[in-house]
Amino acid sequence: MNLQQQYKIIFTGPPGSGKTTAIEALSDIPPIKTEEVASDMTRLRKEKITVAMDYGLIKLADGEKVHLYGTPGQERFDFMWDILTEGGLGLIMLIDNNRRNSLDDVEFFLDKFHSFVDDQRIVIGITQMDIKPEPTLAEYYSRLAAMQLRYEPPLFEVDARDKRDVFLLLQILLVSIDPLLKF
Amino acid sequence: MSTQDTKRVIRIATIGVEDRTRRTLDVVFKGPGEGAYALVEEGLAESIIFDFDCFNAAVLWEDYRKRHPKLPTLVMSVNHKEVPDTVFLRKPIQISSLFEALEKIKVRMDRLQEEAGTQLDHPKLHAHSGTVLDRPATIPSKFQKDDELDRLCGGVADVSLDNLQDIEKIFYNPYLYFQGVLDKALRTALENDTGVLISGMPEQVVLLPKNNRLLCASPEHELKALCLVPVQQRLITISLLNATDANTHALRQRIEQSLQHGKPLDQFIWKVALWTARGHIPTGTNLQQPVQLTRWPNLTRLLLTPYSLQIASLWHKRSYSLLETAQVLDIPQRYVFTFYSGAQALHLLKIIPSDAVAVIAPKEDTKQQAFFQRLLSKIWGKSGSQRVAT
Repeated sequence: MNLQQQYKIIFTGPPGSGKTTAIEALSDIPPIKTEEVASDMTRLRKEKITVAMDYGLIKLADGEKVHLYGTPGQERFDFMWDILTEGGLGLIMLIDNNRRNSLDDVEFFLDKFHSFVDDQRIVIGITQMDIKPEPTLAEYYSRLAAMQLRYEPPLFEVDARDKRDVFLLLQILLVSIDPLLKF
Repeated sequence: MSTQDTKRVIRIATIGVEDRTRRTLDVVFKGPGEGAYALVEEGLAESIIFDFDCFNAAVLWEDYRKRHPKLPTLVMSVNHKEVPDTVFLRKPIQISSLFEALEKIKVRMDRLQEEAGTQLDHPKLHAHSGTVLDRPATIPSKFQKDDELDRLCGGVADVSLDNLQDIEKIFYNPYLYFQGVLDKALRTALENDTGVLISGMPEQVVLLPKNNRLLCASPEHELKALCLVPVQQRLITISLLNATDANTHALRQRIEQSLQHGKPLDQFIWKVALWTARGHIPTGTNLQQPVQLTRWPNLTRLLLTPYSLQIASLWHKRSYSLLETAQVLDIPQRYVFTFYSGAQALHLLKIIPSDAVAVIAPKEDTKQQAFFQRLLSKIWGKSGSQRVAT
């Protein structure tokens, strides 16, 4: 088996934070979605939710593949998370600023995916800031500081619908892991 | 050399060429090729020298051809390469063969120009300095953008600590300019945990740091010009906007306007710092003092100057001095200075005592780095014109 084909990048975050859209922006194939009509409170915010995962693929010139996995956002699907994230090169966490407890969301997901934090392979994108500008990035950083993490992940304002933002977030993830990469 | 009889300077960039070879080319172009050829960054180039013996050449070539499908290209290699629509140059390079190959490139450029039916393809350059006077209309817009960002970093040459005269040239005093006024206002607002109003400028400026908002009616081109002129400090006042004694209706309106229609304050401060600094650093900066980022600037919303991602990553992981940073990343100092000035203006840097750190280059995991490089090239090519944050 060619291990090079096992490269994967994980997208996580609460429902409606833009994971599916971000994967669509990066994928070289039509992304595979496992969406179902939401039957719970999530429906108030998003008609369809990801129940298993989203999947996309970046094909490199020499045949190498980078798999893009989006975790289901809802906590009741968290049994999927460990399976999906094992061996992931890096984690892109998207946080919906329009949710009531978005600061708590950051803390929750950082706790769940702490191995990526410890390995310094994580970047956080805050979405929907155009709709709801608060909490500000400074408030998120304050929350991170209060968590006393060994590594404080970088976080940025992003619009998951804007490909430029998604590309840049992935570039930042790669360069934050290895500053010596050349553009 | 036959190209010497023309006044035209051909702008050439290199891809995949080792630094040592590039420096040699630079010496050749400043020696026997003076007035005929100049090495430039890719975004400004009219032709390319591509080293097909470099690491990952095939991928680099594919990405390059996606960016520049028709740019006249000189391909060099130890072994003969049949690459369509290119001129081949065998290594080791002989100067005479190099100039012969470049003559062929020039012919291709002329032909392309004729095909395009335009007279605008050749920008005027100072024959001796290689300075661009105006930009050709045929450069794609994304490179115009990159070029603008590159210009934002100024033209300051790398300095050596041995040369005090050169070192003096890299400093500027932000407090003589609008940047300094803005910084004083920001400090005042933060100290008092409130908004502030700057008066005495062509337009009033309202800062609400808590909400990351700023209101300024001046158009961008006026602000840019303002940044280059020393301000008359005595005419300027900075006053607190205290909501409890927001005594006038007009003042309350200004605060509400700022919240609703204001611009992000961090973007404004970053821009003003870059416009003012133009590749210089604030006076008093110790080039050998290690610095570290307290957190990343919000780079998805800021002017993304060259190498800002790499510098941010390096300074976020550990502390490096400005000179070390340029060395470790192998980039011109002016890009480091530019990022430093922006991050400093946003108060995102902390100074680390020199004796507390030892310079350690980041660890290189070659296998991972090679893979990341391939992925980055793919994303870079794919993002194209979308890669520049504004």
